[in-house]
Amino acid sequence: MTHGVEGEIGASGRWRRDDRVAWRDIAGEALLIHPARSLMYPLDEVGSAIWGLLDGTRDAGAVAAEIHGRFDVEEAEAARDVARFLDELAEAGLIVRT
Amino acid sequence: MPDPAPFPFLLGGLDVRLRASDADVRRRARAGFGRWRARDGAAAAAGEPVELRVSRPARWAGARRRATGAAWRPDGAGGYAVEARGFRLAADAAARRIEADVAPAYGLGDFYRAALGLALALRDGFLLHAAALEIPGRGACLACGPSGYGKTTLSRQLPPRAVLADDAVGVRGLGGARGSGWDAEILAYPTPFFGDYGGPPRGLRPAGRPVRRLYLLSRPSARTPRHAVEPVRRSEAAAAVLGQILMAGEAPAEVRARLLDRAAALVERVPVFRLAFRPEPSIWDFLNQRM
Repeated sequence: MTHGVEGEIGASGRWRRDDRVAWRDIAGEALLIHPARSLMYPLDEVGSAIWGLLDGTRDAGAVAAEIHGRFDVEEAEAARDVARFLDELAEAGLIVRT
Repeated sequence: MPDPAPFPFLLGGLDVRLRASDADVRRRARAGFGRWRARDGAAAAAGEPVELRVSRPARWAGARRRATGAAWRPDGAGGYAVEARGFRLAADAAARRIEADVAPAYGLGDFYRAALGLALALRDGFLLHAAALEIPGRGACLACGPSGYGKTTLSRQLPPRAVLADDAVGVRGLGGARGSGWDAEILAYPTPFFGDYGGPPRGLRPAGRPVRRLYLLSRPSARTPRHAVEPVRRSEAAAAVLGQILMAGEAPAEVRARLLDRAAALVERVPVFRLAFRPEPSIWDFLNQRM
């Protein structure tokens, strides 16, 4: 699956974690396990924070605003990074649109 | 025909009572597991026994199509039926009783190894693809990594008295207030399943040692200039551990979730480092100094 514009998918709509994904917060870092493929995704601190925010109530902009508030990152950069990360999570089948 | 007396042995920290109608299976168990025979005190500490009944049918119509891995199927009562290329078994939910048919040409060692992986997963632990070494008076270090990452090479550099395993280690969480034990002491148990090291060193006791360090082995390279450790992110460490737990990838979601909890507990409670080493005896001092 490819996307014409980077961040095109992640930038729109609200997202939540797929209920079938097994995951644990390990000292502030999330480890995700894909339900079907047994692939593992260890996330860093920022990725884990984004993952924790994906409860279906926020769109990409709201997530980016939270990340901008929590970490030392420019607002525009946070928006780009969040959109790109949501793209990756969606492509991997780890999040679903609400 | 009367049921033969069980052969008790401590396998990866579990008190296993082997029952086999086949005389050859009993003979091989006595020969291979003699030193792992359970003593009264150690057996009591191991908790509720695992009754392991093994049959070797003269004819085998098992799952030839399955080249590797094992298929788990819930039995509806909390237990599982597991089918692999060379064996099929049924286990209850707590692995109190495991009944297995093992194909005539299938290695019994491979079967026992898989059965232990399953029993530990259903109980309170897991079987980890790792080397383990004992620092006297301190506890155990685990060195975890895929095949070819230097588990045996590392073991060969150590004094034999320090080698607990070069390929498979039983890991259990014991004594926790919440019953699972993973919030209290985490213990490493030697197993009889050695790799290219050849076999257990003389005098190796099957008792558990508290786990004090976890090393994730780096891919070996001839250009490694010296022994070195570096910190590892906890999520990466948990993924690495989970990837080296026997049968974790094939287990059903509920069992895998328990294994994920235990892998997470291990890397949260024990310092974890990535280890690059040169195959030299000085690695022993290097690891000693870091305990």
